[in-house]
Amino acid sequence: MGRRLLSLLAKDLKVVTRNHYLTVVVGLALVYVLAINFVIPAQLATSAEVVVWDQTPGQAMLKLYQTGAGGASGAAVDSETASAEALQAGDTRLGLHIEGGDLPERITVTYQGYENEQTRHLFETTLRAQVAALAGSPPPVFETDVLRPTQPAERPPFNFSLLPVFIFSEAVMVGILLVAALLYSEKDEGTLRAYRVSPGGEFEYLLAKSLAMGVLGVVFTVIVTALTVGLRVAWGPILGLVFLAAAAMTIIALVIANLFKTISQFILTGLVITIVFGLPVAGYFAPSLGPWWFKVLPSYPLVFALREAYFPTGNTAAIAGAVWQMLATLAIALPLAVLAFRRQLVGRDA
Amino acid sequence: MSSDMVSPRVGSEEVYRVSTVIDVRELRHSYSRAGKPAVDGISFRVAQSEVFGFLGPNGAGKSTTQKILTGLLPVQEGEVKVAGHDIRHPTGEFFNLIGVSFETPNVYLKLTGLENLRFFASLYDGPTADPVELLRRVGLEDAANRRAATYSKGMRQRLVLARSLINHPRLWFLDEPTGGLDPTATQWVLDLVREQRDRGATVFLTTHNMFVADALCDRVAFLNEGRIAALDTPRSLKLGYGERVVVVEYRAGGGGDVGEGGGYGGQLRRETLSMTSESERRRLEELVAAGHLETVHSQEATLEEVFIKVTGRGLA
Repeated sequence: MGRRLLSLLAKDLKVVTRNHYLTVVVGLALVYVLAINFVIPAQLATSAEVVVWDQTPGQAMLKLYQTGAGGASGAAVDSETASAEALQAGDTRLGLHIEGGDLPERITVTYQGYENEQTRHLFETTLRAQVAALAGSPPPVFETDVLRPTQPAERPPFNFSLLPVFIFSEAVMVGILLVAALLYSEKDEGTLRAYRVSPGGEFEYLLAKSLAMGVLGVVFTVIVTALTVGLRVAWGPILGLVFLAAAAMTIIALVIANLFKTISQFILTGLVITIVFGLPVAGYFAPSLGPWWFKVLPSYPLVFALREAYFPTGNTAAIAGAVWQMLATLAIALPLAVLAFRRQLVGRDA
Repeated sequence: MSSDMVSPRVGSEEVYRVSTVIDVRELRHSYSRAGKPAVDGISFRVAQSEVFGFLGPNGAGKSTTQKILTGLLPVQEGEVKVAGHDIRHPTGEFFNLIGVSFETPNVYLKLTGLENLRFFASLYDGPTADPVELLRRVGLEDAANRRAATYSKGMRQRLVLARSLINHPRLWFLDEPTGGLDPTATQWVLDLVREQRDRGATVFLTTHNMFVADALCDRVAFLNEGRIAALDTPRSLKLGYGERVVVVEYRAGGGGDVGEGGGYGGQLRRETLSMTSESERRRLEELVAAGHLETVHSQEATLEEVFIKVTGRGLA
């Protein structure tokens, strides 16, 4: 079996190379490298810029924002027209018009209109606290407690922090469509029938395809990683995770691809699969977003495991958990793929 | 052994008792529940080293039967044993014994001819043929390192043929092996089949080319609408179903005189005389006695004519 598996894998790698699948993967990797290095910023501006028109004699609020103590940077204007022009110049700017004597008596906040309710509420609450402080009222004191204390890790630059998502989406998800294309091209050539009358088995045939996609995923990952964060990363966990995940995801794709006769029939379902498996990425950006069915999908632990592999915090359980989930996925999906292959595709192909 | 000779072993019950390689009994197969069966209760046996022809027009059920025999389609009804294996559950051991040349040139287009053969050779457990030598046998040695995508249809068909021999098959299935081939390549195929038979392989040949069947097969089965209409040696079929006639050419009205140029005088005439008719046999005797005959040819029916007579339809 080992000899046949290696032979099938070598054949599949030749075919994906000559079909230009490898070229597509390398091209995509270089596009991502350019995007990470030159398009996506290392830091995101997360605080608003406040345009302050302070008509009070002491201009206490203006000083507060100019020193940064207001929680946002402030730019001073001295007229309604200047305020309107400054607000027009930046989509993320807020307007603050302060009138009164020694203390602010009347404050007008101008929003762009894009801000959500939470942002507005937070800004206004902060503003009230600042005005109260100016009036001499001390801010309330809170005691805090943390349920899940973790070692605060060094936060990676924003562009690099997207690496796990890019690696997941391209190295793994593209494999789903490529493996289906590979399967259907062999079906169209009729070589699947030629293979069926040889001693080669379905298990080896499908496993070789998923391993070939794992190799493509590794190639993509090496290029993107080396040309962005560099060579000094934990290659073992990163490449191991990618290889295993690409193999597991493509086996799932093969289970489903075997239910369709042609690639045009499969393609819509294939896209739905990639979207469903891609949904847990939302949990990566908003960790509190994690419905139970996110966690069942093998892609959910994968993005977190990749983040841990790229930017270690000592949470090795995240990697181990993802590895076990991928192995379990392979163990369940591979027999299903063999069954579907035997019953559906071959029967109709014959 | 000449291609026109019939193996003395073939056809005798003793041969099949001892060396049956394919044993098919009451085989039926339908592609749909309501539709007419593609194969409708056929039974036959093939002995070791026999070249067995499965003949019939398109849609007769030939390819369906071959797909069942090679494990590509399941047995729905009936019994099929191939090389001692129950074909309902084909094993790797079974696939090590057979070689299949498909009608469609199904090769890996992105691989070279040599890579195609090397890949398939790696799938078998036993000794395999030298891919370079096989390519030479089918006239592809110069194209060995070219991708199959650049091959013509005929070249791909020859590559399929070579691939089917990579494992030295004991049982060789050929589906329309000469389709799309030029006369030279067709002759290579005929030679290869004879060579394989001589080394002891059994050949199951599916074709609608009666010339190829007549040239190669020890026995042929005529398949029509899923049923076997006749099964025998080509010679027996031609003798049994064809008319036994002779065609004679003679000079009439010349009185047997030698004319200019060394020929007999009188008008050249041709008659076809049936040897099963008393009056026509007497006519032949008269012509012989008169000494006017110039040529005499026995005329047997072709397999195609026999097929039309048996099934009432042509092979197109």
